[in-house]
Parts: sequence; C-alpha cells; structure tokens
Amino acid sequence: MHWIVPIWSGMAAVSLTLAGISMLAWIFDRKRRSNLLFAVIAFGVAIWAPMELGMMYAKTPATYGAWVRWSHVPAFFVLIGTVLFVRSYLGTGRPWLGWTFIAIRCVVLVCNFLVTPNFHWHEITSLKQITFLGEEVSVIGHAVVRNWQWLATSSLVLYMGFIVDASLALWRKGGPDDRRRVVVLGSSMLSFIVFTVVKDQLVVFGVVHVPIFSSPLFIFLIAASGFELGRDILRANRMGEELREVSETMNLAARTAQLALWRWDIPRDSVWVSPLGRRFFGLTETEPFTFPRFLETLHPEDRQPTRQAVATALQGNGTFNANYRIVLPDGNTHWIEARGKVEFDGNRQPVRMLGVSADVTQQWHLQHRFRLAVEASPNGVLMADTQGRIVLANGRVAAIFGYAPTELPGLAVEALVPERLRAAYDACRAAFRAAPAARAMGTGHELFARRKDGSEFPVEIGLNPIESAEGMLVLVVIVDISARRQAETETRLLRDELAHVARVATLSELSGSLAHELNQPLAIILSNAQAAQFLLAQTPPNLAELRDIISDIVDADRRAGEVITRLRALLQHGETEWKMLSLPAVIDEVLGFMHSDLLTRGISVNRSAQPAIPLIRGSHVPLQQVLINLFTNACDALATNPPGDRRLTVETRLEGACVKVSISDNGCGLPAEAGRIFEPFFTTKTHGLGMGLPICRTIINAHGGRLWPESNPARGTTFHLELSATEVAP
Amino acid sequence: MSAGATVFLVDDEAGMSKALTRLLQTQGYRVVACSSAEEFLKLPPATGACCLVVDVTMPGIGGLGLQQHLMRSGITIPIIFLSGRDDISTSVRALKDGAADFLTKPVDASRLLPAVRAALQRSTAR
Repeated sequence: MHWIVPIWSGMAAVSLTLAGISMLAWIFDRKRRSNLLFAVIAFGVAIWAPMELGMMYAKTPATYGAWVRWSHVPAFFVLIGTVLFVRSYLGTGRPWLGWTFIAIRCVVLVCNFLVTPNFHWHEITSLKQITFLGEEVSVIGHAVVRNWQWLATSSLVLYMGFIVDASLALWRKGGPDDRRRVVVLGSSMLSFIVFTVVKDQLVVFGVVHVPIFSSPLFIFLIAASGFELGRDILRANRMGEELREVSETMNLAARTAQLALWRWDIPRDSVWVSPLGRRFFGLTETEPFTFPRFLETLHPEDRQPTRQAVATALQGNGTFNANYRIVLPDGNTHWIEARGKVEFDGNRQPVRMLGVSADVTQQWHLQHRFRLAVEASPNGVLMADTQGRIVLANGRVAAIFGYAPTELPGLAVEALVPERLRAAYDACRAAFRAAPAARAMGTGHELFARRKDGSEFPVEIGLNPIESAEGMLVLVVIVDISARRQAETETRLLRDELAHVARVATLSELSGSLAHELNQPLAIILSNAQAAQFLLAQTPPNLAELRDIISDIVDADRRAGEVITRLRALLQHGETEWKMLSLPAVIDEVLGFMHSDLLTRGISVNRSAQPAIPLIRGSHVPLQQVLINLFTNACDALATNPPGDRRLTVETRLEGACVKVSISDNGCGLPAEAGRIFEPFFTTKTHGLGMGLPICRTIINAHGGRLWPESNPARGTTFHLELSATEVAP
Repeated sequence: MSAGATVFLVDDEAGMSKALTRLLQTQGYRVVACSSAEEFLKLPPATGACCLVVDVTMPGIGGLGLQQHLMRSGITIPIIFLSGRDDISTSVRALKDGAADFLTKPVDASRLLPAVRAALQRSTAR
C-alpha cells in the first residue's frame, strides 16, 4: 500500500477546499479579514504539500534542491499569513515582533532565490533512499549546510515569541471564549512550530533520516483555525437569527404603535419604507420611493419647511425632527410626526438616514378641537408657567386686554395687573404656588385688570393648576365683568329711583302725620313766645320764667329741625351710606314720625326689644322706608277693627346670628292672594301703587336679609324681618 | 275778666301743655294741666268758673272721647278743642256736640284767649 501520495495530496485538497470556503466568506463580507488570511495560509499549505511530494520523489540532488527552494514561497505565505492572522483574529501580539519576523522572512525569501540550490544548503552532493511509511523516498544523503540558514531558524524563534506574547496578552485580558481561542490556536501553532524546527534541524544536520515535511503538521493548525472560524460562522448565524428576531420584534412594535420605519440611502436617493409607511405615504408595495417623491406627497405649505429640516439634519448634528401633512390621492390629509438620525461616513458625508414616522392625525384633531374650544370660549383663557409668563392665550384674552394675539405669549402676567394691585397679585401667586388647587382669585373683593392702554376694568378670575411635562402650569380663566357691573349699577340706580318714588308716595300718605310732627313744635314755640310777650309787659317781668320759656322755645325749635332733617333724608335722592345701625333705634324713629298718625287712627302700639341687641350693617333711610311701609300696612289692616281694638306689636330680638323684627297686627289679615303680595303693582288699596312690599323685599335682600309674612293664629298678620347681626353691641 | 277762674288743660304733649299753661297763667287763670282724658276724669268736680282746653288727638279715649264721656256723665263744662290738623268732620262733630270752640294748632293767643274768655263767660252764665 502506498500512503504518501494519498495523504499529501489529500492534505492539499482539504487545504484547498478550506482556502476556497474561507475566500468565499471574505469575498461576501470584506470585513472578514481573518478569513482572507486563513485562505492564504490554507492555500499556502495546499501548494506546499505537492512540493514536499516533489522533494520525496526527487531523483537527483538538483531536483531536490529546486523543490526545497520553491517550497520557500508557500512557506513564506503560510508563516506571514499566520502572524497576520493572529494579529487580526486575536487582536493581540506586539506589532514590532510581527514586523521584525516578516522582515526577516522577506530577507530569507530573497536570499533563497539568489543562491543555488537554496537558502539552507550550500551544496547537495547526494541523495539517499530511506523507507518512510512503507515507501522508498529521497532524503539528503550528503550536503553542505549554509551557515546563514540559522537566520531562518532564529526567525522561527521570533515567530514563537510573537505567538506566545499574543496568546498571553489575550489570556490575561480576555474572557472564557478568548482563553479557549488561546488554547486552541496558540498551542497548535506553537506545537507545530516547535516540532517543525526541531525535526528540520535534525534532518538538516543528518541526525535523523526522514523527509523534510511541514504540511501534515500545518493541517493541525488549519484544523484549529478552521474550528475557530467555523465557530465564528455558527455564532454569526446565531446572531443573524437573533437579529432577525429583534428586527421582527421591532416591526411588531412599530406596527402596534402605528409607526412607520424608513431608511434613506442618501447617495443613491432610495428610501426603504416599512409597509405601514407605504400606506402613510399612499405608495403601492413596489413603487420606488425617493426624496423628491416624498416631498411631492406633502402638503404644499409643508414642503419648504420639511426640505429645510432635512437640509439642517444633513449639515448639522444629524438629527431630523419634522411635522408635516401628507395629502393622500383621495384628498385626505394626515398629520405626521417624523424623527430621524443621519449616519455619516469618515469624511462627514451623509450616508443614510434612519427614522420613524407616526401618524398623529387623531392627536392633532384632538388638539385642534381643544384649541378651537379654548379659542371659542367667551371668556379669556390663558396659561402661565410658575414664573408668571404667558405660555398660551386665546383670542378673547387679546381682545379684552387690547393686545395683538402674537404679543401675548412670553409676556409676564403682571403686565395685565394694574400697578396699584401688583403687590396683592404677588401675594396671591405665592399662595397659589404654596397650595395649588382650583380656586377663584380674590373672592370677597373686586378684582381689576389692566388693558394695554393702561385703563382698568373689573374681572373675575379662576385659577386651575395643571401638571404638564413642562412643570406646573396655571390655567387662568378671565371674565370681563364690566358689562355686568354696568348692568348692576344701572339696576341699582333704577332700584334706588323706584325706592325713592315709593318713599315719596309713602310720605305723601303720611303727610298728615308729618305735618302734625312739625306743627307740634311750632305750636309750642308760638304759645311760649306769646306767653313771654305777656310776661314782658308785666312789671317787673318774671325773668326766671322768661329764661325757662326761651329754653323751651329752643328745644321745640330743635325738635322741628330734626323733623325736617328726617323728612329731607327720606326725600333725599340717590345713594345712601351704609353704616352700623341699631334696629330698635330705627324703629323708635319711625314710630316717632308716625306717632300722630297712629294716634289719629286710634292704634295702640306695643313695642318691646331684648336688651343689648347687636347692631346691624345697613342703609338708614331704606330701612326706615321698609319700617314705614310695614307699619302703614299694619295700620291699614287695622282700619276695619273697632276703635280700642287696634293693636300694633313690634318685637325685636336676637335669633341666632340675626336680629329679627316681628311687626304684628290684629287686623284683617293677608288678602286671599297672599302669594302675590310681593309682586310689583299688586295692591288691595284703592290708591296703592303696589310697589311698597316689592321694594321692601328688594331693600331687605340688598341687605342680605329676609322679609316674610305669617298669618297670626288668632287674627291679623305678622311680618318678620331678619338682618344679620354684627359682633358690635350698641 | 274772670280772674281766678280755672282752665283745665288736657294735652299729652308735655311741651305743648307747659307752653299753654304759661300763656294762660299770664292772663291770671288758674291752670290745671292733665296729660290725658283719663287723668282729667279722675279730678274732683270743678267748682266756680272753669273751662276745658283739650287736644283732639291723644292716646286713650282722646279729646272727642272725653267730650262724649262728659256729655254722658251730664257734666257741662265749656270745651275748647285744639287740633293738629284742619279736620272739618271732626270739628263739625265736636261743635255739634256742644264744643265752645275748635282751634287749629299752632293756635295764636289772639284766638285762644278770646275763646277761653268766651267759654268762661258761658260757664259763669250757666
């Protein structure tokens, strides 16, 4: 059986195959430099093996020498290849060691071809035949070794050094995977090289008689490298699998989130878009998509800004943010929000842009609707940040404050507050920040706002805290209440006017009584004065009596003056002052006015008041008016009673927090249509205006009080009047 | 002149009562002032020349009530009414029931004093 040819040629074939596979791997992925280097090594071994066969079957020393000489070429590539492979694949090894080795091998290779027969021998004088693997093969019989062949041997020591260094470096810094590589690759290389060097030196010096061969040993190295590279390919496959899974997950996420993914190859101007993206842009499945085509799909108004955004991204930091509208062929408009990232090559040239786009039409519609709602609000709506700057304001704010809508954002809210109220505003803002909760601003007192021209107007303001991504914002709702205030003022004036008319009417009814009130002091004055005249005519005049008379005249005159003052107050027109009043005192005054009327009508008055009734806050004359009305009504109700049974009771007491006055008569009672007595123009009196009670109720309501009638159990009516008591005792 | 004659004065107004008392006293009359009709009725029956000056509007039975009461009791004393207002129906009623005079406040001495004098004459004539 002949073994040598099948083994060597088999090795060559295996090496060639591995070289081919590795080469293909490199051709498909130029980044796999290790595969290229491995291919070079394997190819070298594939060439080397037949050359070794040539040596073994050489018939003459010259042929043998020539084969050795030529075998330096594959050996060169194999050795250089392994150094570069280690450097590229393990990433370690001191470069200077590697480069020194390569330089020496280059020198060896050049020298090898400058001399005959080769680098190792000066002269091969004879060959001899030995038995190797059961065959006769040629080996060196007698030859003269060149001294400088040590250079080749010592270069191999350098080679070993490089491999040991690279292996140790990786062992120290690498993980378990790297250490396995060190064991597999480093040990196989080292054992190969040690074995080769030792065996070859023994052959060269004729100590042992075996053929010179390296390729079978190299096959182990190839196997080891192939094992590692194979593992890498498997791993790459697995990673590819994982990558595919990640990509599918991404796609699923993108589909779920309704995001379109896209990738724009900038030099070729070709855009890949995910299927959902194609739907966004209204593209068919196969239609090519380019940047100009993209711009075409946009709303004409958005084309220029989008082009600008893309240009900025390509020239700037590579970030692309844009919002644009797409107008689909069916006429529908979609709002899209797009984000992208540009990738640049080494020369800062944009290579491609990756990005996502989201269809935000629904959000846009929501926002749009919200904006429309805010815009359409009849009240001013503005949003301010905690620094008091306006973030957003609707058109109404601009209108009521006299600003152009564009002037408001960024403006300090303070500008809308009158200068005299700014300190109060600051306090309010601080209080709001301390405890943010929806509230009405400045309850209990009037708020004023300031227009751009500096004029002021009354407002009502509601504050609402809003948590947003930008921090806390304050939603401020402003109602211009100038018109309401105006209407209120007008109503008040009308009410006062009407009250005045009613008062005059009441007084005219009371004119007899009032005349009497005035008449009485005048009568006293006249009689006293005439008595004085008579006294003066006497001799001697009674001066003491005269002094008394004059004093009485003065008193009566004062009394007349008071009547006139009161009358003037009642007839007075216009606003009345609010002050602290004692209701029992007002009752006494009014009964004083009506004294003579009550007497004439034969009505007995029984008044009682709890001691220390608190004061009330009110307007004097209107309250007098109410009491006059109620007393007059009571008197009228008593008209049909027999003389001597006409009783009017006025009781004042404190009930809870209110002062309550009950005016009770034993008269004819309420009319059948009792429910209508507070209606304007409802009257049971022949000359009545029908305004008395409605005005009474209006006045009492304006005082925050209550006025209501009650039928007495036995006979007659009681009118109750309740006003809030103040803390102050009279 | 019936100096020493008594004039009864009934008026609820203290100031008025005082002023009229003074005026009548300057004429030498004895003046008895009451603040109400009821008070007057409690007085012992008058003797000698006397007349009554009474205010129409008073709490209680009032001036007219007093006149009625006196009529019913058969006491005849000339009565001069004083009224705060020009009330024709009241004056007619009072005069029909025998009032000596019906004067409106403020009453001038030139009208009151002759009226008192006339009433006193009527009283003595009786």
